Amino acid sequence: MKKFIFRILIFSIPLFLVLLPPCWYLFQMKENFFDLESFIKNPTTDKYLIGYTYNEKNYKFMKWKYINTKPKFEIWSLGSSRAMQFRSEMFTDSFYNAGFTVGRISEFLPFMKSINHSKYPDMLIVTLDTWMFNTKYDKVDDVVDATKWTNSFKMYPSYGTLKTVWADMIDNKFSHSKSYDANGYTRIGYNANFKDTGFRNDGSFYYGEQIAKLKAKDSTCSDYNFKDTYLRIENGSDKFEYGNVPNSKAFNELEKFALFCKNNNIKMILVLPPFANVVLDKMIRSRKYQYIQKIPEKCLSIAKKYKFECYDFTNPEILKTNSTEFIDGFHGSEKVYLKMLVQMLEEQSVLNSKTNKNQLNDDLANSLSNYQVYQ
Amino acid sequence: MLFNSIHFAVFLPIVFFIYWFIVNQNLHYQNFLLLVASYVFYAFWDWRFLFLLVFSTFLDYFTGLKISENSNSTLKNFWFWLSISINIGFLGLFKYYNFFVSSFADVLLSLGFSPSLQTLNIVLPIGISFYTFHGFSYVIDIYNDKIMAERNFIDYSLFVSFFPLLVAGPIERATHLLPQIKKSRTFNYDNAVDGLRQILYGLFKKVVIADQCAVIVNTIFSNYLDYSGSTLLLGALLFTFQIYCDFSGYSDIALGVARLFGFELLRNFAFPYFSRDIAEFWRRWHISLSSWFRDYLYIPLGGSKVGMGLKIRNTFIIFLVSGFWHGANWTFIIWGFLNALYIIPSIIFRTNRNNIDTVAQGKYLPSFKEFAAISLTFGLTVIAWVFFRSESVHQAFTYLNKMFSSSLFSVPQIKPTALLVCLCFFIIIEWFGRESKHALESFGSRWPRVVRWSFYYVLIVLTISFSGSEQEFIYFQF
Repeated sequence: MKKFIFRILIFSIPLFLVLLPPCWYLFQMKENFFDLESFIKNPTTDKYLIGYTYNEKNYKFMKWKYINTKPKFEIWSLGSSRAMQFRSEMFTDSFYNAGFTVGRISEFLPFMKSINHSKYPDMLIVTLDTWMFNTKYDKVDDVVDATKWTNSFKMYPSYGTLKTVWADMIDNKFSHSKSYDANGYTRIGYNANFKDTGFRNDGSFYYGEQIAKLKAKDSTCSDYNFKDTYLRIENGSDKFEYGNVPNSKAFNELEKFALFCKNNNIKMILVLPPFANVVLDKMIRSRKYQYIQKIPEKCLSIAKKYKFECYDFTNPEILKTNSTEFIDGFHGSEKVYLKMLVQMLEEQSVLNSKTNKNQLNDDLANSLSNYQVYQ
Repeated sequence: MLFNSIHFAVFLPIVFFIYWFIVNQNLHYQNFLLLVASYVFYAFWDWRFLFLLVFSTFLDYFTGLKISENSNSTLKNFWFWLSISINIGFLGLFKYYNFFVSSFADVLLSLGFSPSLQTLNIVLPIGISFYTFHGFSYVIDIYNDKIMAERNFIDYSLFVSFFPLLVAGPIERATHLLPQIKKSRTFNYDNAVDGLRQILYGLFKKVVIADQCAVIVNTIFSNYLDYSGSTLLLGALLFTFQIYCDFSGYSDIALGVARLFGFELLRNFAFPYFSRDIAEFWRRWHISLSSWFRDYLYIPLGGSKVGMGLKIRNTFIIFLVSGFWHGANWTFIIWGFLNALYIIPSIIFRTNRNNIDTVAQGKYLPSFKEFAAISLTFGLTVIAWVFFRSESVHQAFTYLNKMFSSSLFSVPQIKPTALLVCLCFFIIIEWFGRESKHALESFGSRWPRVVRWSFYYVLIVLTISFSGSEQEFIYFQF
């Protein structure tokens, strides 16, 4: 027996040396080894912030699970990271922000199909990104299935995560990071703990550190002065690929989704969110994004066919906003999204029955900052 | 609790430590510890079903004693059939009730009636088919005077609930496991080390091969109408490896864990995909279940000592029952039927025991004839697995129809390069380890320790690199 134990220990030493340090950090930050599913079902706290750095895919599972576990929400916001700024405070009925679950046009339908029918909302705000209609970004030929959401949670770190954590440890990332106070939140994940960033209970996203840096005009903030977005435009990369004509397959997918919503009595509200003014100017001047101008018309015709609403806010001037209200080149702040909602209400959206327009106008007038309306 | 979970990684060393260092002097304490550990292991899934497990254990323990004690054949029969019918009742209620009700409703519907039959929303207790079959074999063996009833309830409960085999087998026999439970156990270094190797290999098969195959297989089978024939073939091939690595991976871990505690469980797999005919495949696949059906169904029906007609009938019966054992769905029954069809020619031409030995024994490569026979057998099983994996019979036929269309020769729409590399690595290990109990027993055994340990580290790194989300073992649902 002694020989056995001794050999096991000797054999395990290299494994422990490699695995323990990163696992310890991941455990401390609740990036891994944290049962998110149980936490979602029975949160031990009223307010939480879930912000991962190494396990961003967990968000897809988190939102999918949240919707399937909680009582039905009357209104949802659905889309990519550009759908994440709608808040429950903006609505008088129950609301959940399912932003970040869908990154491509062909994912809307499988996502909805993966949800229990009884949880379908009455109203669905669908945020469409222009690049969803760009063949160079997405050819729309992949088959998507529910495992994209159901299997995206990682309780234990993958080899890739361990490698990345090791690299970050060597870079001294953790010793330089400032841990945020709980401030009423239970914080899960590195971003939540060290960047004050993550998803709130209602599924909306809080850009804590980025907003603080933007307010302080700190040049270390992400996409400072839109430099990163400009670079993408110059390179035609990372969602800013060039294109003349939108992808017809993407519209077919959108139409399939519209039909699905119709058949399930879901009132769909299509929204094309804005770019920062200066970013849109640069795109237009480049003359390499002709396809963008052709998207709203086609979306409108699909919406009209199924008696849904469609709002084109690609140009932020419609909202009387400017670049100082943007988190980065293509993410409007909470304030921009509130302005979008008010504009929709002005145009007699069905959302009027689920909101209090006067209250929203007051909220807008009393915004906390250019980036934040609510606490 | 899953074998591939952190919980188990903590649970196992704790039980091992107490077993060998604290209660090692006393067999009764050891058995009691293993029983408690087994119930904890089971309760991790759902503690409420522990009552069912304990009841089922007590039922067979009690009826076993009664059968053994009574020389009066009427009373003996009474206790025997009471045990069998209650066990079947549990299986019927939890596993087959909804199937029978909906099938009956379908028949009525086809006859023009509009039935309003209620199905039940019941959870299938994990491992019910396995521990019920332990109980069956125990009671039948007592009834047939092959064994005496066990008087020690703890020992009997451990036989039914021993945690390595509790939820997905191997299906043990009282004649094999109970004597090991009754005998004092001493730690055996070589067995324990080989047990660890077997656990490592089982984890590799489960996490690296089966779970990675599962992701692609699920995508392809969920959207089979959108894929080309070549992609569907890829899906069927990957499922063939998935189910093998999933189930044999579980069995390897179970056997390895049992060896750490001084037990030798029944072997469940013997490299079935290197079989040269279907009969050989069934001697190498899920051996504990096949032999169970052979001993408790096929032989009582007359086995092979009857005329050709009855022999064929018996073969169909055991394959159909085997299919039905896997689940309450017509797809499993057709899977069983198909396997019976495959095996019938070898029974008619009496070639079913042609390939008893291991293929290409002592050689690096098989002969062309052997290779062709292996390929043909493998191809037939791939087709049968499509039925096993499909949600419905209609899906299976549509899947096969699309698979054998002209697009079979196109480039697959999914190209899982990393997985295919891992699969090649796995097949090489399997091939060179095929003459031993499990592949790692002999593969690399003659290498210098540094090389051998490095190889184990590679397996561990691969397992960690592909791990992350725990996937349940397929056979848990049975």
